[in-house]
Amino acid sequence: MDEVALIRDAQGGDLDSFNRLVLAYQELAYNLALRMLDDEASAEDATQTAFISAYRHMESFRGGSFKSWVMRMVTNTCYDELRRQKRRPTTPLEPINDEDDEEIESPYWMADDHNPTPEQALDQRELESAIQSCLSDLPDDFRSVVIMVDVEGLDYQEVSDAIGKPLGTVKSRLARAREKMRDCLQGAWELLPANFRLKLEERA
Amino acid sequence: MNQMKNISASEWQLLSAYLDDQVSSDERIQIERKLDSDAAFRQAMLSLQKTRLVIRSMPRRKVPRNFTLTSEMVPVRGTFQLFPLLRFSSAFAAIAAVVLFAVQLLPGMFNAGTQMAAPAAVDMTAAENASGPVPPMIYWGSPPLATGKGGGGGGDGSSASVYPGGMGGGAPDTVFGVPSGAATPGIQFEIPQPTNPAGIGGAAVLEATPTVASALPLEPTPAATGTQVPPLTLAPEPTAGPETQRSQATLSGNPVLGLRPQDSGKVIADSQPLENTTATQEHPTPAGRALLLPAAIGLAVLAAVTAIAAWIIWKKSHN
Repeated sequence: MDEVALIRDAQGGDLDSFNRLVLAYQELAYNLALRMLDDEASAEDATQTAFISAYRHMESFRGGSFKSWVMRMVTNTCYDELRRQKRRPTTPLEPINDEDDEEIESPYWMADDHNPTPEQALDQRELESAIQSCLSDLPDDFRSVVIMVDVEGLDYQEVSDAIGKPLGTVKSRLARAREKMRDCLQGAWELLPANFRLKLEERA
Repeated sequence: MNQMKNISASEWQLLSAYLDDQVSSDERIQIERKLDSDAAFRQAMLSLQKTRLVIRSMPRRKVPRNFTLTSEMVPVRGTFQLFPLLRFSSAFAAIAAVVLFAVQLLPGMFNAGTQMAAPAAVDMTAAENASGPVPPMIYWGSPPLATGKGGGGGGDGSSASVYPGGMGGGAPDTVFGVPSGAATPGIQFEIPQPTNPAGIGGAAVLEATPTVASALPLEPTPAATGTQVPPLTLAPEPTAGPETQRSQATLSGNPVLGLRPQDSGKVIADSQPLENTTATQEHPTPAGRALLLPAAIGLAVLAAVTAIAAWIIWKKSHN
């Protein structure tokens, strides 16, 4: 895929070229939105809105990392959604009990290709729930940085481009976010699956 | 745990960057030295590594659907780029239309102001008349003596002496009042010989000159001298030139009577607008006015059309 050519064509109004870029980055964008908003429906909406906004503002892309530019669109859309939720908080109609709704809302059969055993799936679900809870407690600015670096694997420069802040700010926010995550996960550490803890301790 | 608390924020930030290999070579050497010598620093490093591993262990979700765009979701960008052009052109056309309307209306406003001044003077004179003794009234352009409208008017003693036939009562074109403090008894009016046949009226000039010695002279204006109306009363100081006398009369606040040159010899109807009897004013040429109005209307229409077009494009692009 010649990304530069696709970007140039998309800037000229070619929707097919833009859609090829969408296919390349939609998983990254969706996962960022999902971790930021902690809600699948909101994440879908935010991802779609971000790509529409990206297409409308293609002419404002002045080169550099297109991935960072898309991440910036997604991050800004998520910030808008979070602000809207704070202004007008909503109550979900589904039951809050995780055991009841996760069968519907968390399609793990879609997430992994290697078909984990039921025990592994349960461990993974508990772990993800614990991490997501700690992420949701972070301030929005810290959360976006730690998700992009530690979950999505972007480097510091890409994150700096995505959030429009200098490298020093990225480093500072990431360190503080990790510190808060460490404190949060301390209490949940024992709740983590035993085999997972053992594996982590071996790697550390 | 307590050892980790001894790590400063800057050291923690340095460790975090070291973990991601985002430090300089000097910083790296410094950190590795401290890791070898400081147990608290080493413990902090381990906890940070573990935390990062836990976060990185989060599974990535597959997208529930594709987020590709369709032509229904987004408008054609070429059309949307017309929006700023239409928006600015509509704003410019609206401003231009307002300016043209204002330019066209302003002279009319001045005219209206002048027209409003005469009735106000009449009202003030009426108020003065009501409070003081009977003032001398000079009727300018009054109806003809024999066929005046609303004949039988007048009513007070002075008018009866002037118009023994019971004429008067027609609305005067201009009414000049004398200050209430002025002596009014003994005013003598003389009826001029009208230049027009009886019954047409309007051009007849009546002058009232108080016979008292203290009264200031009333002089016909030079414009009036061109008419055939004979001056009925002369000023007591005929040695002064006409310009000097007029200046004196104007400065002293006394009325100056007469006809403008263009009105001399013409019949002045009662219904003629007051502005025709007042000072001459500058008016835009009819041709200029004829051009201004269509231009202003055209610009207003253009502003409305472009604004509606911009609104439609904006609406489509945000749906």
